Amino acid sequence: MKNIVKKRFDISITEPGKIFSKSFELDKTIAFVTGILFTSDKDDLMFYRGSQKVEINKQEIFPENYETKLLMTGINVAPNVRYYDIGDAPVGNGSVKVEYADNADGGTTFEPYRISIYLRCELNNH
Amino acid sequence: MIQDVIVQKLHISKMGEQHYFQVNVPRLAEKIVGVELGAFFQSQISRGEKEQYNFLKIKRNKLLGEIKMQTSNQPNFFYAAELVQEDKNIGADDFLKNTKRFGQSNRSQPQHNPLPPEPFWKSEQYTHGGRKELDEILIDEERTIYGCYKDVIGKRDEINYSYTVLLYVWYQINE
Repeated sequence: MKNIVKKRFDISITEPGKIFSKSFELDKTIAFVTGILFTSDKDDLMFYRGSQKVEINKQEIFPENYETKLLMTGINVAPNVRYYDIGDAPVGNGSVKVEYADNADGGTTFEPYRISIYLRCELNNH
Repeated sequence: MIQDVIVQKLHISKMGEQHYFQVNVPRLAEKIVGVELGAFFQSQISRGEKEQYNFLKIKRNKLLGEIKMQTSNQPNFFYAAELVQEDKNIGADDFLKNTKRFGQSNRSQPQHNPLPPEPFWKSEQYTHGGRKELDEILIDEERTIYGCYKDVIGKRDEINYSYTVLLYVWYQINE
């Protein structure tokens, strides 16, 4: 059976209508990223305003303008199926890059918020 | 097998606007496998007229517009959908929205000025809106998709709403 670990990375969104880019390093023991999930401390702002680009090992997984709400999950979803399956994306150099864009929305008022990116990872078999 | 996605942005700013577009599918793509839709609003959508009372408390969803897509190889549309702002009945039949906060009882409220029951917790789009799933389609060897998006909500309210429709076209690459 493969060993699975979950990783979490945070980005602080401090200004409206801007792009926040951040790169993260994964552990060397990780071979594949198999799932991805976005959450926030202010879910409504991320749901209505967010879009992002995700790259793993310089390979584009989700392109620019891909809405974050498509990668969020509600509490009506069973915990074991909350991650968005991306197949077996090889980690390679271990670099994960997220470019999150906050987009103006007529129905919400901006206030600083935090987004969290959860990755479901498979470890190397020793 | 690898899947990738193309994102097409359609900006709508006039009531009843018809936006014709073209999606160029990369040569690497073997099949088109799915379509998703979304929208960002630059202007606030009006609440509209007061809804008629109905005992089931079902609310009408706001229809933003209609989208249709066609390929050059096949007759007729291969995809037609209605884009709604959000599912307003996401919390229908949810008993929690009619319950009071902990520690708040009827006895503590003065009888001459009873407060309306405050919802303890209410279902919202961002709590019950997931899990999203794409509309599955299957089209082989197609390089160009032609489509049209027609605004409905602006025409209905007679207001020039400004919003961006996002169209996602998923395709499959065989290694």
